[in-house]
Amino acid sequence: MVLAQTGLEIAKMVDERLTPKDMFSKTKMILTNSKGQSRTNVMISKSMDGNKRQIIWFLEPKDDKGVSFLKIEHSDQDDEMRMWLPAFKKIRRISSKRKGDAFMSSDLSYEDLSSRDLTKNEYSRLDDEMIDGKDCYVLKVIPKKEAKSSYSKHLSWIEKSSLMAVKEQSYDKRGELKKNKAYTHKKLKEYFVMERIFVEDIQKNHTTEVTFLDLQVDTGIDYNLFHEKNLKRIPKM
Amino acid sequence: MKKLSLLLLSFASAQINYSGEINPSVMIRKSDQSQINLPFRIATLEGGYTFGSVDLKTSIAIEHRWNTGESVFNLREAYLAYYPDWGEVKFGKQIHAWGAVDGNNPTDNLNPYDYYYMFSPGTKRKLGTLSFSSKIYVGNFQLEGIIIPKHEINRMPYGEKDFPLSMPVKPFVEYEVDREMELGFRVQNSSVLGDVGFAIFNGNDRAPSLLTANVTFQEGVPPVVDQMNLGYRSTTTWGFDFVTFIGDFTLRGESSIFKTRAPLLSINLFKIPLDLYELHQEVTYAQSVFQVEYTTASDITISGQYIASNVSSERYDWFHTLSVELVQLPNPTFRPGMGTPFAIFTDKAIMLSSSGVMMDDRMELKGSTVVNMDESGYMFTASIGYSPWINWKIETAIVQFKGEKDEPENAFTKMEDFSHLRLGLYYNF
Repeated sequence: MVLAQTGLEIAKMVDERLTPKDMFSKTKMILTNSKGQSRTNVMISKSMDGNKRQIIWFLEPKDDKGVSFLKIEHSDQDDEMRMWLPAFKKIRRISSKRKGDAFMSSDLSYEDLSSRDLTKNEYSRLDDEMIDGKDCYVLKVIPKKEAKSSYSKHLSWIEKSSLMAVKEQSYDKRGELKKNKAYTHKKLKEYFVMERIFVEDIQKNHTTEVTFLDLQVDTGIDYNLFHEKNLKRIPKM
Repeated sequence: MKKLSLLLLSFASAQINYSGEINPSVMIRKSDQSQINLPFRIATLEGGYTFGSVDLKTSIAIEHRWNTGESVFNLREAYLAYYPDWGEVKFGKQIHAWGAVDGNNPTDNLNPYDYYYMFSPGTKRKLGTLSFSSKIYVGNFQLEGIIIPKHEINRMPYGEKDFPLSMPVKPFVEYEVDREMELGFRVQNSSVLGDVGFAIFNGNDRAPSLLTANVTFQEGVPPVVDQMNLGYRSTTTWGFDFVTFIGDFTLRGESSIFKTRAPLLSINLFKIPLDLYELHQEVTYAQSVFQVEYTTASDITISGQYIASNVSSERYDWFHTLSVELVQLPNPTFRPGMGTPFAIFTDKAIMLSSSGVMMDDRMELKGSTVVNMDESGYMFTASIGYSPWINWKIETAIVQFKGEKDEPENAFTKMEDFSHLRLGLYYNF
């Protein structure tokens, strides 16, 4: 069978998909361990440029209230990451090189939260599949060395109609399945936006469910918001 | 009318933020299982009222002593902060934080320390001072200026038999500082490679030192010091700090040069005692901290710090206050009156610490050790925190000091009997 589009072309289509200029949400993150015990984090997130600029203020658990996180991705240089720690009254510059580190003890790593650079990954197209009644492209994504990825491979299922990922499997450096990710999206204005992410770390038998509540798009967030001075003030929802 | 409407609108959109902690805890001495009776903060409340670009922030604490049942209300901070597009302006009683390394910051001399909390992290061990500060962001640069109108001093545990480094009584400080106002300025540049900052501070020591003495000279016998009179030296610091990344390692460093001198004393010329001798002193010393940190794949952060302090030059001249005649008197042992609190323990130390969380942040393990490289001795702490329910935590910790019997003046030897177990309950809201 000859497929009309290559993996890279589909990845480009996904990358060039119409996305909001900015997003604003209250985010709930539920971590559940193998014993079924859960823990909930609540945060406010504002982002721009398809999450390349993101600022997160933590609201719960209460001992983390006021802690905030700023990420600025650069395509040709290392990303910049900073945290505001109110108990220390300090903005702490943190390393962005260990992309495999867990974000707030969740099953999502900083790499999972970052956008994937087309030039730093190899894309190949596999046979299309139906997932929950949705017609999907299936892509095999292999990070190149310069991506400094903690993964060896991803399999991504992209819904053809929305060009949104609905499912992904990520494999560790040994080639073993590490994470199963499931995505739910909805249409807001003229955009398709993520509504829920469910990640299961197969090796740790641990899950993380991220739900974006009160999601707003194109709210006119100022580009200058993504500056460390804005870490200190929790915005009004 | 339009202005009034805008004002009303900003008040209508105001929001109140608060958070706090209730933290009853006990410390049990390891040697005889007796309770260590020192005050601790049983409750803290951070409040914020935001309207438009202005925040009103407060931090209050209730300090409690188990043995007396006494509770003291303490307004730790209360200040207004204005956040224009170009930066921030703050005025009021506030705590500042400068520097790049964790905990032991030689460039951070803006606030006095509360030595009752010297083993506490972050701002918990500092005292707020009335100050005006402004920070301006220009591209990748930050410029910060701070004015502290009134000199404030460290809070020391005087007369506390349960605190080994405590002096029996609060010393009488004879002399005022020669200039109350203190000034600080810091500039920081950020790039993808890291941050680098330079800081200057001009102020007064936070701890008193010897400035004059009443001395009796008699022929054939050594001079007898009848009374030592204390005051606060004037100190200027020049510091720099940086943070950068090499591979998976984060490097942080900080160094400061301190130049301290005796202040100009205000002595009534008509009441100068005949036996009064003044100590003119000029000492230059430096404190440096270099930190390497690494986070493992299992999210355990390991950090190592090298802490060094050294006196590069010191000059002492004793002279008779009335006649201005130079005399020979023994020079005092130099003690820094500013800088990282660790300098009172040792001139050289290595600190290793690690921390990690398990069970979805329910359990937190921390450990650290400080090894005295100058003399013998070490300090070791380990703690386990467990959160059975969200916002509740139980923490137990062990703090162990080990000195050397042959070195009774070694701070670690003096602290040996302070080795203790700590049990605390935390509720955050």
